[in-house]
Amino acid sequence: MKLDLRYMLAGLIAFLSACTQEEPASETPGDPPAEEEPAEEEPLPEPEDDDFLQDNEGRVFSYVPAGDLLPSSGPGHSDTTIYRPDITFPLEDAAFLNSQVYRHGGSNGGLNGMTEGQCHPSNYDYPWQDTFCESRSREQIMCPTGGHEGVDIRAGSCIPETGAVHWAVAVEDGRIVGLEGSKYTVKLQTSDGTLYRYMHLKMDQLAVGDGEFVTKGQRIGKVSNDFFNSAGDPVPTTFHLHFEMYQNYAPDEETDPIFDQVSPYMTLVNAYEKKLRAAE
Amino acid sequence: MRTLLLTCLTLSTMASAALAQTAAPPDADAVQRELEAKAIRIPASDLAAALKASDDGRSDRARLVPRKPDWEAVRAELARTSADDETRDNETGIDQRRPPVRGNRPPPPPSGLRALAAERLPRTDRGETDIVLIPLLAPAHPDVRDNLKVYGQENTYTAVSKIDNEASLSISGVCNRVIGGAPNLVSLRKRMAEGPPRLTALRARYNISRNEFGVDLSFSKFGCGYVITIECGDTDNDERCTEDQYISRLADSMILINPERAGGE
Repeated sequence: MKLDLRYMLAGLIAFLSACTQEEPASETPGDPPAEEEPAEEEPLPEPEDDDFLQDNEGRVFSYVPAGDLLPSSGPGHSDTTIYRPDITFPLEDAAFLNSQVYRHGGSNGGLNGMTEGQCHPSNYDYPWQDTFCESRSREQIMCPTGGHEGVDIRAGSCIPETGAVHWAVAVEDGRIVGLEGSKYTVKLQTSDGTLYRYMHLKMDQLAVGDGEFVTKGQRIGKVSNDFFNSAGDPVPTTFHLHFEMYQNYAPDEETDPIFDQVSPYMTLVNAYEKKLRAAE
Repeated sequence: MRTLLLTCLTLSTMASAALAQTAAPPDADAVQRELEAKAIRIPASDLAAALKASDDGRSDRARLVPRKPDWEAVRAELARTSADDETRDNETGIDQRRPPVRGNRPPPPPSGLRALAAERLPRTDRGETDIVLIPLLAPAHPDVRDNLKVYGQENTYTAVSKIDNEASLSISGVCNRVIGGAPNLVSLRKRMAEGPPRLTALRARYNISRNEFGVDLSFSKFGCGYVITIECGDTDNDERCTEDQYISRLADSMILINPERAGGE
Protein backbone atom coordinates (compact mmCIF):
# COMPACT_ATOMS: atom_id res chain seq x y z
CA MET A 1 0.00 0.00 0.00
CA LYS A 2 1.33 3.44 -0.92
CA LEU A 3 1.22 5.88 1.96
CA ASP A 4 0.61 9.48 1.12
CA LEU A 5 2.58 11.14 3.90
CA ARG A 6 1.40 14.63 3.03
CA TYR A 7 -2.25 13.73 3.54
CA MET A 8 -1.52 11.74 6.67
CA LEU A 9 0.59 14.52 8.15
CA ALA A 10 -2.02 17.18 7.39
CA GLY A 11 -4.70 14.99 8.97
CA LEU A 12 -2.56 14.35 12.03
CA ILE A 13 -1.80 18.07 12.51
CA ALA A 14 -5.48 18.95 12.19
CA PHE A 15 -6.40 16.23 14.69
CA LEU A 16 -3.75 17.26 17.22
CA SER A 17 -4.59 20.94 16.98
CA ALA A 18 -8.27 20.14 17.59
CA CYS A 19 -7.34 18.04 20.66
CA THR A 20 -5.01 20.63 22.17
CA GLN A 21 -7.32 23.60 21.79
CA GLU A 22 -7.79 25.02 25.31
CA GLU A 23 -10.95 26.51 26.68
CA PRO A 24 -10.58 30.31 26.61
CA ALA A 25 -9.66 31.64 30.09
CA SER A 26 -12.45 33.59 31.72
CA GLU A 27 -11.77 37.24 31.40
CA THR A 28 -12.25 39.80 34.14
CA PRO A 29 -14.64 42.50 32.98
CA GLY A 30 -12.67 45.50 32.00
CA ASP A 31 -9.53 43.56 31.03
CA PRO A 32 -8.45 44.28 27.50
CA PRO A 33 -8.88 41.22 25.26
CA ALA A 34 -5.70 39.23 24.87
CA GLU A 35 -4.17 39.70 21.47
CA GLU A 36 -3.66 36.49 19.55
CA GLU A 37 -0.67 35.95 17.36
CA PRO A 38 -1.96 34.97 13.93
CA ALA A 39 -0.74 31.43 13.32
CA GLU A 40 1.30 31.07 10.21
CA GLU A 41 0.00 28.17 8.17
CA GLU A 42 2.38 26.20 6.07
CA PRO A 43 0.75 25.75 2.66
CA LEU A 44 0.42 22.11 1.68
CA PRO A 45 2.72 21.19 -1.18
CA GLU A 46 1.01 20.71 -4.53
CA PRO A 47 0.23 17.03 -4.93
CA GLU A 48 2.01 15.18 -7.67
CA ASP A 49 0.76 12.56 -10.09
CA ASP A 50 2.25 9.81 -7.92
CA ASP A 51 -0.08 10.84 -5.12
CA PHE A 52 -3.08 9.72 -7.14
CA LEU A 53 -4.32 6.44 -8.41
CA GLN A 54 -2.92 5.62 -11.84
CA ASP A 55 -3.59 2.97 -14.43
CA ASN A 56 -0.95 0.56 -15.62
CA GLU A 57 0.22 3.06 -18.24
CA GLY A 58 0.88 5.72 -15.63
CA ARG A 59 -2.13 7.87 -16.45
CA VAL A 60 -3.84 9.43 -13.45
CA PHE A 61 -7.39 8.14 -13.19
CA SER A 62 -9.99 10.86 -12.74
CA TYR A 63 -13.73 11.22 -13.15
CA VAL A 64 -16.17 14.07 -13.53
CA PRO A 65 -18.81 13.94 -10.76
CA ALA A 66 -21.90 11.81 -11.33
CA GLY A 67 -24.64 13.50 -13.32
CA ASP A 68 -22.34 16.23 -14.68
CA LEU A 69 -22.74 15.75 -18.42
CA LEU A 70 -21.13 17.44 -21.41
CA PRO A 71 -22.60 20.78 -22.49
CA SER A 72 -25.70 20.43 -24.70
CA SER A 73 -26.12 16.77 -23.79
CA GLY A 74 -28.88 16.96 -21.22
CA PRO A 75 -29.38 17.71 -17.54
CA GLY A 76 -28.07 14.35 -16.34
CA HIS A 77 -29.08 12.47 -13.23
CA SER A 78 -26.99 12.99 -10.16
CA ASP A 79 -26.84 9.60 -8.48
CA THR A 80 -23.72 8.85 -6.46
CA THR A 81 -25.05 5.53 -5.20
CA ILE A 82 -22.73 2.56 -5.33
CA TYR A 83 -25.33 -0.15 -5.86
CA ARG A 84 -22.97 -3.12 -6.03
CA PRO A 85 -19.75 -2.45 -4.12
CA ASP A 86 -18.19 -5.81 -4.91
CA ILE A 87 -18.46 -6.11 -8.66
CA THR A 88 -15.45 -6.44 -10.84
CA PHE A 89 -15.02 -3.92 -13.65
CA PRO A 90 -16.71 -5.11 -16.88
CA LEU A 91 -13.62 -4.73 -19.07
CA GLU A 92 -10.33 -6.51 -18.58
CA ASP A 93 -8.10 -3.59 -19.58
CA ALA A 94 -8.10 0.16 -19.08
CA ALA A 95 -11.40 1.78 -19.96
CA PHE A 96 -12.82 5.22 -20.63
CA LEU A 97 -16.37 6.19 -19.81
CA ASN A 98 -17.53 9.06 -21.95
CA SER A 99 -20.07 10.09 -24.52
CA GLN A 100 -20.35 8.28 -27.84
CA VAL A 101 -22.74 10.90 -29.23
CA TYR A 102 -21.51 14.29 -28.02
CA ARG A 103 -17.76 13.79 -28.43
CA HIS A 104 -15.44 13.13 -31.35
CA GLY A 105 -16.90 10.47 -33.62
CA GLY A 106 -20.43 11.03 -32.33
CA SER A 107 -23.35 12.39 -34.32
CA ASN A 108 -23.63 15.45 -32.04
CA GLY A 109 -19.93 15.97 -31.36
CA GLY A 110 -20.09 19.25 -33.29
CA LEU A 111 -22.16 20.78 -30.48
CA ASN A 112 -19.00 20.70 -28.40
CA GLY A 113 -16.63 21.49 -31.25
CA MET A 114 -15.58 17.83 -31.29
CA THR A 115 -15.69 17.03 -34.97
CA GLU A 116 -12.93 14.49 -35.39
CA GLY A 117 -13.20 10.71 -35.53
CA GLN A 118 -13.91 8.26 -32.72
CA CYS A 119 -10.19 7.47 -32.32
CA HIS A 120 -9.35 11.01 -31.19
CA PRO A 121 -6.90 10.69 -28.27
CA SER A 122 -9.13 12.63 -25.87
CA ASN A 123 -11.80 9.92 -26.22
CA TYR A 124 -9.25 7.44 -24.92
CA ASP A 125 -8.12 9.32 -21.86
CA TYR A 126 -9.39 10.40 -18.46
CA PRO A 127 -11.40 11.99 -17.00
CA TRP A 128 -14.38 9.69 -17.18
CA GLN A 129 -17.72 11.31 -17.65
CA ASP A 130 -21.21 10.10 -16.82
CA THR A 131 -23.57 9.34 -19.72
CA PHE A 132 -26.56 8.05 -17.76
CA CYS A 133 -29.54 10.22 -18.79
CA GLU A 134 -27.58 11.76 -21.65
CA SER A 135 -30.17 13.28 -24.00
CA ARG A 136 -32.14 10.85 -26.11
CA SER A 137 -35.61 11.04 -27.55
CA ARG A 138 -36.76 8.14 -25.34
CA GLU A 139 -38.76 8.53 -22.16
CA GLN A 140 -36.77 7.11 -19.29
CA ILE A 141 -38.23 7.29 -15.82
CA MET A 142 -35.02 8.50 -14.19
CA CYS A 143 -34.40 11.09 -16.91
CA PRO A 144 -37.14 13.73 -16.89
CA THR A 145 -36.53 14.94 -20.45
CA GLY A 146 -35.70 11.53 -21.90
CA GLY A 147 -32.34 9.92 -21.84
CA HIS A 148 -29.74 7.22 -22.09
CA GLU A 149 -30.41 4.39 -19.67
CA GLY A 150 -26.89 3.07 -19.25
CA VAL A 151 -23.30 4.22 -19.51
CA ASP A 152 -20.94 3.90 -22.45
CA ILE A 153 -17.46 2.51 -21.98
CA ARG A 154 -14.65 2.74 -24.50
CA ALA A 155 -12.04 0.00 -24.39
CA GLY A 156 -8.35 0.52 -23.70
CA SER A 157 -7.59 1.39 -27.31
CA CYS A 158 -9.52 2.48 -30.38
CA ILE A 159 -10.21 -0.85 -32.06
CA PRO A 160 -10.53 0.36 -35.69
CA GLU A 161 -7.06 1.86 -35.35
CA THR A 162 -5.28 -0.77 -33.25
CA GLY A 163 -7.17 -3.91 -34.19
CA ALA A 164 -6.76 -4.94 -30.55
CA VAL A 165 -9.11 -7.34 -28.82
CA HIS A 166 -10.63 -6.03 -25.61
CA TRP A 167 -12.67 -8.44 -23.53
CA ALA A 168 -15.79 -7.72 -21.56
CA VAL A 169 -16.08 -9.88 -18.45
CA ALA A 170 -18.78 -10.96 -16.02
CA VAL A 171 -18.98 -8.36 -13.28
CA GLU A 172 -20.31 -10.95 -10.84
CA ASP A 173 -21.09 -14.63 -10.63
CA GLY A 174 -24.36 -15.17 -12.43
CA ARG A 175 -26.18 -16.67 -15.35
CA ILE A 176 -26.38 -15.66 -19.00
CA VAL A 177 -30.08 -15.40 -19.76
CA GLY A 178 -32.12 -14.83 -22.89
CA LEU A 179 -29.21 -15.02 -25.28
CA GLU A 180 -31.06 -17.20 -27.76
CA GLY A 181 -32.38 -14.91 -30.46
CA SER A 182 -30.91 -11.78 -28.95
CA LYS A 183 -29.51 -9.56 -31.67
CA TYR A 184 -27.08 -7.41 -29.76
CA THR A 185 -27.45 -7.79 -26.02
CA VAL A 186 -26.05 -10.17 -23.47
CA LYS A 187 -27.86 -10.33 -20.14
CA LEU A 188 -26.26 -11.50 -16.93
CA GLN A 189 -28.46 -12.21 -13.92
CA THR A 190 -27.02 -12.74 -10.45
CA SER A 191 -28.50 -15.12 -7.91
CA ASP A 192 -29.85 -12.21 -5.87
CA GLY A 193 -31.59 -10.69 -8.83
CA THR A 194 -29.39 -7.94 -10.23
CA LEU A 195 -29.58 -7.84 -13.99
CA TYR A 196 -26.81 -6.48 -16.21
CA ARG A 197 -26.98 -5.83 -19.92
CA TYR A 198 -23.95 -5.73 -22.18
CA MET A 199 -24.48 -4.29 -25.63
CA HIS A 200 -22.45 -3.98 -28.86
CA LEU A 201 -20.24 -7.01 -28.18
CA LYS A 202 -19.11 -9.07 -31.16
CA MET A 203 -22.20 -11.26 -31.08
CA ASP A 204 -20.95 -14.01 -33.38
CA GLN A 205 -17.83 -14.55 -31.25
CA LEU A 206 -19.22 -14.64 -27.72
CA ALA A 207 -17.32 -16.63 -25.12
CA VAL A 208 -20.49 -17.72 -23.30
CA GLY A 209 -23.58 -19.72 -24.15
CA ASP A 210 -27.26 -19.28 -23.45
CA GLY A 211 -28.16 -20.27 -19.90
CA GLU A 212 -24.51 -20.71 -18.87
CA PHE A 213 -23.51 -19.98 -15.29
CA VAL A 214 -20.46 -17.75 -15.27
CA THR A 215 -18.06 -16.62 -12.61
CA LYS A 216 -16.92 -13.11 -11.79
CA GLY A 217 -14.21 -12.03 -14.23
CA GLN A 218 -15.01 -14.70 -16.80
CA ARG A 219 -14.77 -13.49 -20.37
CA ILE A 220 -18.13 -12.85 -22.03
CA GLY A 221 -17.30 -11.27 -25.37
CA LYS A 222 -15.23 -8.81 -27.33
CA VAL A 223 -15.98 -5.11 -27.32
CA SER A 224 -17.25 -4.17 -30.75
CA ASN A 225 -19.85 -2.03 -32.50
CA ASP A 226 -22.58 -4.60 -33.25
CA PHE A 227 -25.91 -2.88 -33.72
CA PHE A 228 -28.59 -3.87 -36.20
CA ASN A 229 -31.95 -2.70 -37.39
CA SER A 230 -34.96 -4.98 -37.81
CA ALA A 231 -33.85 -5.91 -41.32
CA GLY A 232 -30.56 -7.16 -39.89
CA ASP A 233 -28.60 -4.32 -41.46
CA PRO A 234 -25.83 -2.77 -39.37
CA VAL A 235 -26.58 0.56 -37.70
CA PRO A 236 -23.45 2.67 -37.34
CA THR A 237 -22.15 3.16 -33.83
CA THR A 238 -18.76 3.61 -32.24
CA PHE A 239 -16.74 0.74 -30.76
CA HIS A 240 -17.80 0.64 -27.13
CA LEU A 241 -19.62 -1.32 -24.47
CA HIS A 242 -23.04 -0.01 -23.50
CA PHE A 243 -23.56 -1.23 -19.95
CA GLU A 244 -26.80 -1.26 -17.95
CA MET A 245 -27.74 -2.32 -14.46
CA TYR A 246 -31.22 -3.18 -13.18
CA GLN A 247 -31.96 -3.19 -9.47
CA ASN A 248 -35.13 -3.99 -7.56
CA TYR A 249 -34.79 -0.69 -5.78
CA ALA A 250 -36.81 0.78 -2.94
CA PRO A 251 -35.90 3.97 -1.11
CA ASP A 252 -36.69 2.31 2.22
CA GLU A 253 -38.04 -0.90 3.75
CA GLU A 254 -41.68 0.21 3.54
CA THR A 255 -41.95 1.48 -0.03
CA ASP A 256 -42.77 -0.92 -2.86
CA PRO A 257 -39.70 -1.66 -4.95
CA ILE A 258 -39.37 -0.87 -8.64
CA PHE A 259 -37.19 -3.18 -10.69
CA ASP A 260 -35.62 -0.84 -13.22
CA GLN A 261 -32.44 0.62 -14.62
CA VAL A 262 -30.26 2.55 -12.22
CA SER A 263 -27.15 4.60 -12.87
CA PRO A 264 -24.10 2.31 -12.80
CA TYR A 265 -21.65 5.25 -12.92
CA MET A 266 -20.41 5.33 -9.31
CA THR A 267 -20.59 1.55 -9.05
CA LEU A 268 -18.14 1.49 -11.95
CA VAL A 269 -15.93 4.20 -10.44
CA ASN A 270 -15.75 2.06 -7.31
CA ALA A 271 -15.00 -1.09 -9.30
CA TYR A 272 -12.30 0.67 -11.33
CA GLU A 273 -10.67 2.05 -8.21
CA LYS A 274 -10.45 -1.50 -6.87
CA LYS A 275 -9.10 -2.75 -10.16
CA LEU A 276 -6.33 -0.13 -10.19
CA ARG A 277 -5.44 -0.80 -6.57
CA ALA A 278 -5.26 -4.53 -7.21
CA ALA A 279 -2.87 -3.89 -10.09
CA GLU A 280 -0.53 -1.74 -7.96
CA MET B 1 -18.82 64.66 -33.92
CA ARG B 2 -16.29 62.67 -35.89
CA THR B 3 -14.91 61.20 -32.67
CA LEU B 4 -18.42 60.19 -31.62
CA LEU B 5 -19.03 58.47 -34.93
CA LEU B 6 -15.74 56.62 -34.69
CA THR B 7 -16.52 55.51 -31.18
CA CYS B 8 -19.94 54.24 -32.30
CA LEU B 9 -18.35 52.41 -35.22
CA THR B 10 -15.73 50.81 -32.99
CA LEU B 11 -18.34 49.75 -30.45
CA SER B 12 -20.60 48.26 -33.09
CA THR B 13 -17.65 46.35 -34.61
CA MET B 14 -16.77 44.98 -31.19
CA ALA B 15 -20.40 43.98 -30.58
CA SER B 16 -20.55 42.21 -33.94
CA ALA B 17 -17.32 40.40 -33.16
CA ALA B 18 -18.69 39.36 -29.79
CA LEU B 19 -21.89 38.09 -31.41
CA ALA B 20 -19.92 36.19 -34.01
CA GLN B 21 -17.90 34.65 -31.22
CA THR B 22 -21.08 33.55 -29.44
CA ALA B 23 -22.35 31.83 -32.54
CA ALA B 24 -19.06 30.05 -33.19
CA PRO B 25 -18.89 26.39 -32.18
CA PRO B 26 -17.28 25.75 -28.82
CA ASP B 27 -13.61 25.03 -28.68
CA ALA B 28 -13.16 21.30 -28.11
CA ASP B 29 -9.92 21.83 -26.21
CA ALA B 30 -11.59 24.33 -23.91
CA VAL B 31 -14.43 21.87 -23.23
CA GLN B 32 -11.88 19.19 -22.45
CA ARG B 33 -9.92 21.50 -20.16
CA GLU B 34 -13.11 22.33 -18.30
CA LEU B 35 -13.75 18.64 -17.71
CA GLU B 36 -10.23 18.15 -16.45
CA ALA B 37 -10.56 21.10 -14.09
CA LYS B 38 -13.58 19.63 -12.35
CA ALA B 39 -12.48 16.02 -12.45
CA ILE B 40 -11.86 14.17 -9.21
CA ARG B 41 -8.66 12.24 -8.67
CA ILE B 42 -8.48 9.50 -6.07
CA PRO B 43 -5.53 9.54 -3.67
CA ALA B 44 -3.22 6.60 -4.13
CA SER B 45 -3.07 6.00 -0.41
CA ASP B 46 -5.96 3.84 0.83
CA LEU B 47 -6.28 5.93 3.96
CA ALA B 48 -6.31 9.28 2.16
CA ALA B 49 -8.80 7.88 -0.38
CA ALA B 50 -11.07 6.72 2.42
CA LEU B 51 -10.86 10.12 4.12
CA LYS B 52 -11.84 11.86 0.89
CA ALA B 53 -14.52 9.37 -0.19
CA SER B 54 -17.40 11.39 1.14
CA ASP B 55 -16.21 14.64 -0.52
CA ASP B 56 -15.70 12.78 -3.78
CA GLY B 57 -19.15 11.20 -3.85
CA ARG B 58 -17.75 7.71 -3.27
CA SER B 59 -19.43 6.83 0.00
CA ASP B 60 -23.15 6.40 -0.79
CA ARG B 61 -23.79 2.69 -0.72
CA ALA B 62 -27.06 0.91 -1.24
CA ARG B 63 -27.62 -2.38 0.57
CA LEU B 64 -29.32 -5.60 -0.36
CA VAL B 65 -32.20 -6.69 1.82
CA PRO B 66 -33.32 -10.31 1.40
CA ARG B 67 -37.12 -10.54 1.19
CA LYS B 68 -39.63 -13.37 0.90
CA PRO B 69 -42.69 -13.06 -1.31
CA ASP B 70 -46.16 -12.68 0.15
CA TRP B 71 -47.65 -16.05 -0.85
CA GLU B 72 -50.82 -15.29 1.06
CA ALA B 73 -51.39 -12.34 -1.28
CA VAL B 74 -50.72 -14.62 -4.26
CA ARG B 75 -53.40 -17.06 -3.10
CA ALA B 76 -55.83 -14.21 -2.52
CA GLU B 77 -55.17 -12.83 -6.01
CA LEU B 78 -55.70 -16.26 -7.60
CA ALA B 79 -58.93 -16.73 -5.67
CA ARG B 80 -60.18 -13.31 -6.72
CA THR B 81 -59.52 -13.98 -10.43
CA SER B 82 -61.06 -17.42 -10.12
CA ALA B 83 -64.22 -15.95 -8.63
CA ASP B 84 -64.33 -13.33 -11.42
CA ASP B 85 -63.89 -16.07 -14.03
CA GLU B 86 -66.71 -18.13 -12.58
CA THR B 87 -69.01 -15.18 -12.67
CA ARG B 88 -68.00 -14.48 -16.26
CA ASP B 89 -68.33 -18.19 -17.25
CA ASN B 90 -71.82 -18.25 -15.88
CA GLU B 91 -72.68 -15.15 -17.83
CA THR B 92 -71.04 -16.14 -21.15
CA GLY B 93 -70.92 -19.93 -21.00
CA ILE B 94 -67.18 -19.93 -21.95
CA ASP B 95 -64.55 -21.49 -19.71
CA GLN B 96 -61.91 -18.78 -19.19
CA ARG B 97 -59.44 -21.15 -17.56
CA ARG B 98 -59.04 -23.66 -20.36
CA PRO B 99 -55.44 -24.59 -21.14
CA PRO B 100 -53.75 -23.24 -24.27
CA VAL B 101 -54.18 -25.20 -27.46
CA ARG B 102 -51.39 -24.90 -29.99
CA GLY B 103 -52.49 -24.48 -33.58
CA ASN B 104 -55.92 -23.34 -32.52
CA ARG B 105 -54.99 -20.19 -30.71
CA PRO B 106 -57.51 -18.95 -28.20
CA PRO B 107 -58.13 -15.24 -27.97
CA PRO B 108 -56.12 -13.20 -25.47
CA PRO B 109 -57.19 -14.12 -21.96
CA PRO B 110 -59.10 -11.68 -19.81
CA SER B 111 -57.15 -9.69 -17.28
CA GLY B 112 -56.07 -11.03 -13.91
CA LEU B 113 -53.66 -13.62 -12.50
CA ARG B 114 -54.23 -17.32 -13.17
CA ALA B 115 -52.26 -20.42 -12.30
CA LEU B 116 -50.83 -22.47 -15.13
CA ALA B 117 -48.42 -25.29 -14.38
CA ALA B 118 -45.13 -25.36 -16.27
CA GLU B 119 -45.88 -28.67 -18.01
CA ARG B 120 -48.64 -26.95 -19.93
CA LEU B 121 -46.11 -24.64 -21.52
CA PRO B 122 -44.48 -26.31 -24.52
CA ARG B 123 -41.01 -24.69 -24.31
CA THR B 124 -40.70 -24.49 -20.55
CA ASP B 125 -38.35 -26.86 -18.75
CA ARG B 126 -39.84 -28.06 -15.48
CA GLY B 127 -36.40 -28.21 -13.90
CA GLU B 128 -36.00 -24.49 -14.45
CA THR B 129 -39.32 -23.61 -12.85
CA ASP B 130 -39.12 -26.01 -9.90
CA ILE B 131 -36.06 -24.31 -8.53
CA VAL B 132 -37.69 -20.87 -8.34
CA LEU B 133 -38.90 -19.95 -4.86
CA ILE B 134 -40.64 -16.70 -5.75
CA PRO B 135 -43.87 -16.18 -7.73
CA LEU B 136 -42.89 -16.98 -11.31
CA LEU B 137 -45.07 -14.68 -13.36
CA ALA B 138 -45.31 -14.30 -17.13
CA PRO B 139 -47.77 -12.68 -19.51
CA ALA B 140 -50.70 -14.96 -20.32
CA HIS B 141 -51.07 -13.83 -23.91
CA PRO B 142 -50.69 -16.88 -26.19
CA ASP B 143 -48.12 -15.05 -28.35
CA VAL B 144 -45.85 -14.98 -25.33
CA ARG B 145 -46.94 -17.93 -23.21
CA ASP B 146 -46.50 -20.65 -25.81
CA ASN B 147 -42.88 -19.69 -26.53
CA LEU B 148 -41.75 -19.08 -22.98
CA LYS B 149 -38.31 -20.26 -21.99
CA VAL B 150 -37.49 -19.94 -18.29
CA TYR B 151 -34.05 -19.41 -16.73
CA GLY B 152 -34.60 -20.18 -13.08
CA GLN B 153 -32.56 -19.49 -9.96
CA GLU B 154 -33.79 -19.82 -6.39
CA ASN B 155 -34.47 -16.15 -5.71
CA THR B 156 -34.85 -14.78 -9.19
CA TYR B 157 -35.72 -15.77 -12.72
CA THR B 158 -35.92 -14.52 -16.28
CA ALA B 159 -38.35 -15.86 -18.86
CA VAL B 160 -38.06 -14.97 -22.52
CA SER B 161 -40.31 -15.40 -25.50
CA LYS B 162 -39.97 -14.55 -29.16
CA ILE B 163 -43.19 -12.81 -30.16
CA ASP B 164 -42.35 -12.74 -33.87
CA ASN B 165 -39.40 -11.85 -36.10
CA GLU B 166 -39.62 -8.21 -35.07
CA ALA B 167 -40.11 -8.40 -31.33
CA SER B 168 -39.25 -10.46 -28.29
CA LEU B 169 -40.24 -10.28 -24.66
CA SER B 170 -38.49 -10.99 -21.40
CA ILE B 171 -39.69 -10.82 -17.84
CA SER B 172 -37.48 -10.91 -14.76
CA GLY B 173 -38.53 -11.02 -11.15
CA VAL B 174 -36.91 -10.81 -7.72
CA CYS B 175 -38.11 -10.23 -4.17
CA ASN B 176 -34.79 -9.20 -2.63
CA ARG B 177 -34.59 -5.47 -2.73
CA VAL B 178 -31.86 -2.88 -2.76
CA ILE B 179 -32.45 0.10 -0.51
CA GLY B 180 -30.78 3.35 0.47
CA GLY B 181 -27.94 5.08 -1.32
CA ALA B 182 -27.46 8.76 -2.05
CA PRO B 183 -29.85 10.95 -0.02
CA ASN B 184 -31.06 12.86 -3.11
CA LEU B 185 -31.85 9.55 -4.82
CA VAL B 186 -33.80 8.30 -1.82
CA SER B 187 -35.92 11.51 -1.82
CA LEU B 188 -36.45 11.33 -5.58
CA ARG B 189 -37.50 7.68 -5.44
CA LYS B 190 -39.90 8.34 -2.58
CA ARG B 191 -41.57 11.08 -4.61
CA MET B 192 -41.73 8.79 -7.64
CA ALA B 193 -43.35 6.05 -5.57
CA GLU B 194 -46.20 8.33 -4.57
CA GLY B 195 -47.82 8.74 -7.92
CA PRO B 196 -47.34 5.88 -10.39
CA PRO B 197 -50.46 4.45 -12.05
CA ARG B 198 -51.76 0.98 -11.26
CA LEU B 199 -52.30 -1.99 -13.50
CA THR B 200 -56.04 -2.36 -13.32
CA ALA B 201 -56.37 -6.12 -13.02
CA LEU B 202 -53.27 -6.85 -10.95
CA ARG B 203 -53.75 -3.76 -8.81
CA ALA B 204 -50.02 -3.19 -8.96
CA ARG B 205 -48.03 0.01 -9.24
CA TYR B 206 -46.08 0.27 -12.48
CA ASN B 207 -43.73 2.46 -14.49
CA ILE B 208 -42.96 2.44 -18.18
CA SER B 209 -39.54 3.38 -19.45
CA ARG B 210 -37.95 3.26 -22.89
CA ASN B 211 -34.45 2.27 -23.82
CA GLU B 212 -32.18 1.47 -26.73
CA PHE B 213 -33.82 -1.89 -27.24
CA GLY B 214 -37.47 -1.13 -26.71
CA VAL B 215 -39.64 -0.63 -23.69
CA ASP B 216 -39.72 -1.74 -20.05
CA LEU B 217 -42.71 -2.02 -17.77
CA SER B 218 -41.75 -2.43 -14.12
CA PHE B 219 -44.34 -3.37 -11.55
CA SER B 220 -44.42 -4.31 -7.95
CA LYS B 221 -46.56 -7.17 -6.66
CA PHE B 222 -46.54 -9.66 -3.78
CA GLY B 223 -43.63 -7.78 -2.23
CA CYS B 224 -41.47 -8.43 -5.29
CA GLY B 225 -40.35 -6.44 -8.31
CA TYR B 226 -40.84 -7.50 -11.91
CA VAL B 227 -39.74 -5.97 -15.18
CA ILE B 228 -41.19 -6.86 -18.56
CA THR B 229 -39.06 -5.82 -21.52
CA ILE B 230 -40.11 -5.83 -25.14
CA GLU B 231 -37.23 -5.56 -27.55
CA CYS B 232 -38.16 -4.37 -31.02
CA GLY B 233 -36.12 -4.59 -34.18
CA ASP B 234 -37.37 -1.14 -35.08
CA THR B 235 -37.48 0.51 -31.68
CA ASP B 236 -38.53 3.92 -32.93
CA ASN B 237 -41.41 2.79 -35.14
CA ASP B 238 -42.84 -0.49 -33.84
CA GLU B 239 -45.98 0.43 -31.90
CA ARG B 240 -45.35 -2.38 -29.44
CA CYS B 241 -42.33 -0.40 -28.31
CA THR B 242 -43.43 3.16 -28.96
CA GLU B 243 -46.89 2.96 -27.39
CA ASP B 244 -47.77 1.94 -23.83
CA GLN B 245 -50.88 0.01 -24.71
CA TYR B 246 -49.36 -3.28 -25.88
CA ILE B 247 -47.02 -3.81 -22.96
CA SER B 248 -49.52 -2.69 -20.33
CA ARG B 249 -52.12 -5.05 -21.76
CA LEU B 250 -49.62 -7.92 -21.51
CA ALA B 251 -48.91 -7.01 -17.89
CA ASP B 252 -52.58 -6.91 -17.01
CA SER B 253 -53.08 -10.59 -17.75
CA MET B 254 -50.54 -12.88 -16.11
CA ILE B 255 -49.97 -16.53 -15.36
CA LEU B 256 -48.29 -18.02 -12.31
CA ILE B 257 -46.03 -20.80 -13.63
CA ASN B 258 -45.10 -22.30 -10.26
CA PRO B 259 -48.54 -22.53 -8.62
CA GLU B 260 -47.42 -25.41 -6.38
CA ARG B 261 -45.50 -22.84 -4.33
CA ALA B 262 -48.81 -21.12 -3.67
CA GLY B 263 -50.56 -24.38 -2.84
CA GLY B 264 -51.43 -25.87 -6.23
CA GLU B 265 -52.84 -24.92 -9.60
